[in-house]
Amino acid sequence: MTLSLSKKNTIIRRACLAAAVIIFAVLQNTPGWFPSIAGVRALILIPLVTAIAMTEREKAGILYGLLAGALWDTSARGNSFNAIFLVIAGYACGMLINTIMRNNFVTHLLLTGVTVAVYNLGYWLWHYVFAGLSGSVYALLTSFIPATIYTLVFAPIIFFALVKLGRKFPDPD
Amino acid sequence: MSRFFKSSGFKLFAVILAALIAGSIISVASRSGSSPLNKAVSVVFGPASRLAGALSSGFNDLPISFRSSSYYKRENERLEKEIDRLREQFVDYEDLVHQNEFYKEFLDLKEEHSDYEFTQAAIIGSDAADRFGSFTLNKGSSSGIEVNDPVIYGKYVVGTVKSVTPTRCVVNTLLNPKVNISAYDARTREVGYVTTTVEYSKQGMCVMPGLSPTTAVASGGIIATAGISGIYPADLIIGTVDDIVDATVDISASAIIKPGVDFSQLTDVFIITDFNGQAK
Repeated sequence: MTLSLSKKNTIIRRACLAAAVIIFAVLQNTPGWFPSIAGVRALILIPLVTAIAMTEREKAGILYGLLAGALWDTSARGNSFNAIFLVIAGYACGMLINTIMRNNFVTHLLLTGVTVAVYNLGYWLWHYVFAGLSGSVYALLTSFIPATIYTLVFAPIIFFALVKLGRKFPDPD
Repeated sequence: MSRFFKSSGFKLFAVILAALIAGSIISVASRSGSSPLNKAVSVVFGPASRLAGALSSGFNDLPISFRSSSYYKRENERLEKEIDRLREQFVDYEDLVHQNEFYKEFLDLKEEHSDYEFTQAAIIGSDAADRFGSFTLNKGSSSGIEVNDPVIYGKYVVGTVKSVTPTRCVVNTLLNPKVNISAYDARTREVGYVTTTVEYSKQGMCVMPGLSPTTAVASGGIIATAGISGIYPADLIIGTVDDIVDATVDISASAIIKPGVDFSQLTDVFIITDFNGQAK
């Protein structure tokens, strides 16, 4: 039994994406492995999941979002918040590209920007504003907005790397 | 619209989302702070995280050598090898000194408090989204660790266990405003509680609010746990008073406290799994 070339390409491409998710999760969540600027760290799993959902569409977006979120949750508080968020993000981005948006760099930057901003805003609201912490505006200005910008710096690199991977192992359709 | 809801993509999305939300509810109900998915993933990927954590601390200790391509290349290489060898010896020596100090403080504490039961754990990860320095340890409920167990380094308080899976746990440090510890000043015996705010947390400081305006607590005073809540045993050191400031909303004073440990430099800690008077 032999695999057709297109199927082989799909398997290799998706295996590479799974490896990328695991490597990114380790890079993001291991202290000292990824540079932090003034205590602000990049959430590189978000642009990765967005880019995967855009290039592989919604089902892959859901599954890779689940993998990325589950790995992230092992370093977080463990209530599956990150898994839920990345599954929704993966599905939404894949559906948007499938129905009303074009798959290009500008939309990737837009979708990643919105996704990271929603994540940081949601995190800030939940853990700071609703928790009644004083100084939440200070945290928004000094931590969350810089983190959003810092994360977006990696969006182009991730997007073009995934485009290159898609060209190296293309689907026939 | 009905075609959208009947699509396989939407069904997959709905099933996974429902399972994740159910898992979250279970995590809240079980009070372990961890969903079944999180427990399973932490068991499967535990070795990878431990390896990454070990490599991370290993890379920090690596000596870096630059090689010359000039006339003195061979001599340089020989000397560099010698320097590398000596550096490695030095790193090994420093590791031993560090480990020795770590275990000595632990031994002192164990001798003073025979009722304490400890588990040693290594830091293997930290949540990139968390701004309060929480971190993940390589020990979990299979090592007897439970939510709210105190985490220490020598005689110094580090924080409390926030959530537990079978093979790992997440720790909230003193720099998290949600952590509150009953405390007293060792010199004046004035009792209060130690917490932090977003601003002080960013500066790596804690605060002991609600002191009387004429408080005798002064800079340099040692703040220790009072052991009132049953979460921390008494007499562990939280830190030293850095400054006394007036509160902004009332006439009380607050002590600004510098924690006794530098959280960014921690690689190993001890978790107290049992002690006399622990709240269960």
